[in-house]
Amino acid sequence: MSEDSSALVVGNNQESRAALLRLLEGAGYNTITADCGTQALDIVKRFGVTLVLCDWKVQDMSGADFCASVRNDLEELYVYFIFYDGNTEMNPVKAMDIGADDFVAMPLEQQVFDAKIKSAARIISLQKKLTDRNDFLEFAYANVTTDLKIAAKVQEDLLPTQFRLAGLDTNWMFKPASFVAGDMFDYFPVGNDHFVFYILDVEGHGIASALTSFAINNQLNPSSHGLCAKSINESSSTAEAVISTLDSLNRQFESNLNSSRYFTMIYGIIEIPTGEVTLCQAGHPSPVHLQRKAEKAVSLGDGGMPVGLIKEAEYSTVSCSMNVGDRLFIYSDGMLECENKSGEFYGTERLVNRIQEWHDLPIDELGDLFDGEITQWNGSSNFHDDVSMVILEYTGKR
Amino acid sequence: MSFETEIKDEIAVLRVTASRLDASIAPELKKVVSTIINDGTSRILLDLQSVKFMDSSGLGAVISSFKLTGQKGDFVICNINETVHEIFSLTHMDRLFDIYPSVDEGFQKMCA
Repeated sequence: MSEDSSALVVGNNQESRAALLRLLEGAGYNTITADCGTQALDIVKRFGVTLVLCDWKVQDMSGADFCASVRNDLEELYVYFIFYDGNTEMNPVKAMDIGADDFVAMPLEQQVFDAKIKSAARIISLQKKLTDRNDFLEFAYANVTTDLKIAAKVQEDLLPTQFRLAGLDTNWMFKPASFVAGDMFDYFPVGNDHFVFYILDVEGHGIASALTSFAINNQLNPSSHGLCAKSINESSSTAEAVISTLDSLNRQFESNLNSSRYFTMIYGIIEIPTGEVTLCQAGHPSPVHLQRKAEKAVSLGDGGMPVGLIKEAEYSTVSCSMNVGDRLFIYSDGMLECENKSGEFYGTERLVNRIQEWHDLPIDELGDLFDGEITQWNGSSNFHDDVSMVILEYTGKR
Repeated sequence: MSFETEIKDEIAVLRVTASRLDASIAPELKKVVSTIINDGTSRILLDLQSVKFMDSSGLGAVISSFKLTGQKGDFVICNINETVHEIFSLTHMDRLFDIYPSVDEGFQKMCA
């Protein structure tokens, strides 16, 4: 039975039923009949009949109850429901109110009935298109979601997994606003004496930003052929190595007018034997240096041009010395600009205070602590922008 | 509409009426600026008085707009609040643009 051209007539008045069947069959419908509401409901459910003509009073349950059951029990299927009545007992307003689409009075006037059936066919056809479209969208959405989950896993796998490296203990926090983030970070030793770290934030968030962050991450890979190792090996000083890396990235990603995607970053190198840090602040929020002895946290740098925005951008470095136990915090603007329910930003001051307050807690706990802190501030784990943070603690142990 | 444009003495005064210049309206800003330039006005005074918050996409759109006009003196910004100023300052973009405290002042400098 094709659901598109089938009609169900419900009622036990033989005369009315015969008249309806004749006109429906004349209009090209396959017809099926039921005496009572229970049987009718079963037929609608089983065969997905989308056009129902029901006597105002059917045997076991009233027409009104049957109509309500069709509406309540069949959310997925839209049934076009017409009441008919030969005894002028039917109240058309009540019929529409309980969920009927139309009503006809018996005896039938053929012209009126044909017009009503045509109207029903139009609505049923539109409904079918809508259902098909929804099914397609649901399918497509499920596919996209699966893809995004895989992409999120790929991104997660790119994040550092080692937490104790030559001279440094590390930890991090990563909260993408959607499945994948425009934020990325990494750190790794280069040779025996250098430790490279960076955090970057591609303008915007979501897929487009994430693709750019993947591309940058690929440039900054830890291999000896990567940009980081090359710049260290080819430079006469750490500052020169940092600046040459930024210059190189800016040349590669400098935007044209059609694509204004740029990124901000902190890129730095720690000289492992001495704890000397040299970093470039390319439009990214200021790193915070926790000086363990003084129990004081200090913001470093006063900004700098982002990468990929201006061809002529010139980069400079900021330095600090890490003593054993000192920590360096780098984080994305999503942390500072995270708003609480009253629209208040988390902000630098709160962050610096918290870093100071937690100076005695082990670094291993800080990732989770800041995660909890910012999630609580945000009021949920759905963030408006990517939030990330990297924490480095100088141990001096080779 | 998140933007209003008024042409005065061949200068387009482009006012952002939204309170957030972020990813949701950044592409529109670029379009509005393109339209102004295509309509024959290449000098723009961007009024950010209503903007309380600007994110990286907003900044990107402002820079793109600046690039479209081509020259420093032809794209001037005025009326920025402290939060927006912090973004310009953090990214050193305050060195790239002429920023004035009011529309009148910006306008006078452009006419001078």
